Amino acid sequence: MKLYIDKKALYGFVVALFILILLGYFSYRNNNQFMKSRELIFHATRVLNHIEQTQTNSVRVEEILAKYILTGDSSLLESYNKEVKKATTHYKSLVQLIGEKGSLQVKIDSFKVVGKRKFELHKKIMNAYKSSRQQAELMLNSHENRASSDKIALVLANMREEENRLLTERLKNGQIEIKYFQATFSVMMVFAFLILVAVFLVINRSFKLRLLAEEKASIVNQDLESFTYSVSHDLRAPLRSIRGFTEVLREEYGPTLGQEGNRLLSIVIRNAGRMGLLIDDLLDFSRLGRKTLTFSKIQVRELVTEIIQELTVHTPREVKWEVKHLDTIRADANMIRQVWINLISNALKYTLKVDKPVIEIGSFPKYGTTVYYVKDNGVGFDMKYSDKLFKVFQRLHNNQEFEGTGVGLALVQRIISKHNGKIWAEARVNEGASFFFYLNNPTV
Amino acid sequence: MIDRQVEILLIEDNQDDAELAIRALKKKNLANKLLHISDSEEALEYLFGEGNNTYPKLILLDLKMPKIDGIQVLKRIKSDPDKKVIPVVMLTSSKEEKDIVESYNLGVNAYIVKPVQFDKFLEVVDQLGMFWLLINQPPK
Repeated sequence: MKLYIDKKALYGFVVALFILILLGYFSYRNNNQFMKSRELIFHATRVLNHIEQTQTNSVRVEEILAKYILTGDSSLLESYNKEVKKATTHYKSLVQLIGEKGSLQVKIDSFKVVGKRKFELHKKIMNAYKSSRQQAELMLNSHENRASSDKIALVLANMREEENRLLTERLKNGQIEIKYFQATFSVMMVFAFLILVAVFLVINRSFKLRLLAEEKASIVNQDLESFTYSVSHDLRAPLRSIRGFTEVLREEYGPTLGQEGNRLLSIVIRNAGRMGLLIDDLLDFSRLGRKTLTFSKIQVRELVTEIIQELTVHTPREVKWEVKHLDTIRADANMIRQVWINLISNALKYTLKVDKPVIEIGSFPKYGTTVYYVKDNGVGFDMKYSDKLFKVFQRLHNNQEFEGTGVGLALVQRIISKHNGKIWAEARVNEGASFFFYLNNPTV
Repeated sequence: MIDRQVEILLIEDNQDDAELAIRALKKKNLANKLLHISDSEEALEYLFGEGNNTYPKLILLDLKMPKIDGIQVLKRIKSDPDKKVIPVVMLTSSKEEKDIVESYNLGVNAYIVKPVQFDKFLEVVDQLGMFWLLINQPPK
């Protein structure tokens, strides 16, 4: 792909694109992080919940045991077991949640020790109760049992404190992360925004420059048009007078001017006529630039045959015509007609002094399109001048040798380039010339 | 100024062009009933002035003239209910399409691109079929 865009705009565009990709990646990563930190926070709240429950259960276990010792109500034993079970479940959950790492691991291990110790104490109390209620009561209120309860409470409190600390830390980290993300995101957004604005300005400016250039071109075109107009009107008027009055002079005073006088008048008349032709050709040439193309399918063979007839009907000559296969073409009918007229009449002109003139016209497929050619065995030309061939008013022969204004081939080239095509020639002095052309429009 | 004999009215500001046209017409004995007016304002006065009731058989009208140009004169003639029947031949210096199209839109009868070779002028008049109109007059 060929780039027409301004380089600055292109760089800006690439950078903006890069930032956008970065922003996308950044957002994705941040989102992941955010999810992770939310999970951690959720994890911490769950741990805290289980610690709380364990604490509640352990207190209740103690209470139920005390009640049982006091009342001897055996239904309380069931409640006791239930609470113990509950406490165990929470403990197990905690073990699972905390896993094998972290500062809580040590604490949960110590909870296990104190819990076990408590459990053993309770068993002893219950065994003692079977024989003596008083003994059990004493044991229940003993320093050892109380200290065990306190230890449990302490361990759990420690755990809660530790987990709370973790939670606050995580919350804080999360907030810092969010803030960091928001800041970076904003900076990148602003940066991308600024670059896009700059790119917009650059593009806008280049559009403006293009519009200005177009405007300039259209002014130049208008100038050319008015120039053409004034050439056609103002240059022709004096020329008309020169030629007209010289003719009048020759008609009315010719006999008194003598042979030399008349010869000189003829030269004036001939040159005025030639200048008229030059102006007409120049006008045709410049008018062509302003014309728009109307495409249609053209039977080239028929067209060529018709043109040959038109060109030879008034000046019968012995020319061997070899009209080969000719593909149809999609082009502006009037213009392509002009192309063929100019090429064929050139071939006729430059074979004028040849003994047995042969003109070959044909087409062949090449470059994915059709190449048309007109080949003659006329005077040809030196290929080192081929660059002058298609330029306005450039001629490779003088007017005494062959008449012409030097506009014909320039006109042909202009028509062909208006059709996005190409024309070129191959020739050798005294060995004839061949003109080839193709239009970019595919043949129908 | 009022001349009922006028058959060709030539409105042309360029004296040299006018002279060549008159000379060409003279060759065919058509110039004796010709009136040449070199100023378009004057020509309009001649055609539409108060009390003027002139009907030339043909008007040869130059396109490019100072002050009032040929197109404006043509507009004036073709918008007049009586005079719009007079055939008008526009004399132009070039084939510039817009002039031609504009003239035809206004109902011009023909146009002649002033040839560099002025002899061709008569050929053109001939080709336009105007000749019979001028020649087929009962001699006075």
